[in-house]
Amino acid sequence: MGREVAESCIDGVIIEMVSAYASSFYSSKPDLAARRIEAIGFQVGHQLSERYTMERPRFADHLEAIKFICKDFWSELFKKQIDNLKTNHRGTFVLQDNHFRWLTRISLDPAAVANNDATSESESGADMTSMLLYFPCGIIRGALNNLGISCAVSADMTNLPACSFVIRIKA
Amino acid sequence: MLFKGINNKLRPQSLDLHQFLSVPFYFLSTSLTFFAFFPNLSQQNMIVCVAVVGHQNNPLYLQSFTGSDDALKLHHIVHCSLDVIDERVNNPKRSASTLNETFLGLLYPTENYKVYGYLTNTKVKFIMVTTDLDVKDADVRSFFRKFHAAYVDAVCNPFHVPGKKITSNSFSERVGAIVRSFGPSMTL
Repeated sequence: MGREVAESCIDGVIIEMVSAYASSFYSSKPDLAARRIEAIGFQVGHQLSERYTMERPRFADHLEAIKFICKDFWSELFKKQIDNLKTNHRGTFVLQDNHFRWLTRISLDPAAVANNDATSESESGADMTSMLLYFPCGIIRGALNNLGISCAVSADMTNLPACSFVIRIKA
Repeated sequence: MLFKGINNKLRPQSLDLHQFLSVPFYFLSTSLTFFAFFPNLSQQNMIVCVAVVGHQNNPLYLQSFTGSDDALKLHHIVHCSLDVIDERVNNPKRSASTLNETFLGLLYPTENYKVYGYLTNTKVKFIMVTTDLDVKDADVRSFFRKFHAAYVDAVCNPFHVPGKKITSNSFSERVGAIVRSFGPSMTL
């Protein structure tokens, strides 16, 4: 049942979905929009993990599940693996991707945004990007939830296009 | 006359030769009729029931392939096999690959059922009840592989709510096709 779609379609759908939720559906309540986007990512991650763990043996512990996310899951989604994985061995993992695929199409060039102050447009640019990052956070959370690990995922985008995802396992 | 001869254990000398010779013919005739019906039996569905149970032991899909009068009995069998799965999973056997768990579950007292189970990575359990007595391991594994593929496709349906029952018609049809293709491979 493998039908293929162009990757630019995926990029376009995700960007448009984020901007629709952030700008038109919940324009006055950005945190509700963020939660909604993350919930969409949660369901997508849930279903994707179901598909990508099909012929694998079961994971013995949390670290193996996180490594699955870093290697197989990430390479299925973004055609590359996570570049750096750090942990404090107490339930916190930091996944760093040095060239996050979905952010390569985002431009924060001030000249492209018209009729805005320098401060507000950098804010809106940062807001838009952080809105966009809620979706992969939700995907990771949904995938881990399906594997039996309940956690909270947040994203950190101090230097684009590299971004890191922080997973805190609730235990 | 025949039964009088068999039941009459206290006085074996009353069994005359005519009755003694008719006993093997009686058994031969019954066995011949049994084998005459046997080819029809092998073409029927061996699988009686399949079930998908979620990770909190909530039923996600339950389908029986015989008459509806014993559907409740099959539900009960599936329910009891969940306990067997739980004790297998919680038993700390350090075996490397614990994904495919094909095992013989209950053997129902009055009829002979075999119950096979399969545990996915996401703690979803597939249970299959079959009436065949000499089921091959490879057949069951390939059945579960196809069933897993159909389940993954059904779950990826965006209208499916995770945790609720699977209501997709195409999933039911695919499962029916997989179950039907399980039968003829047994005649090897």
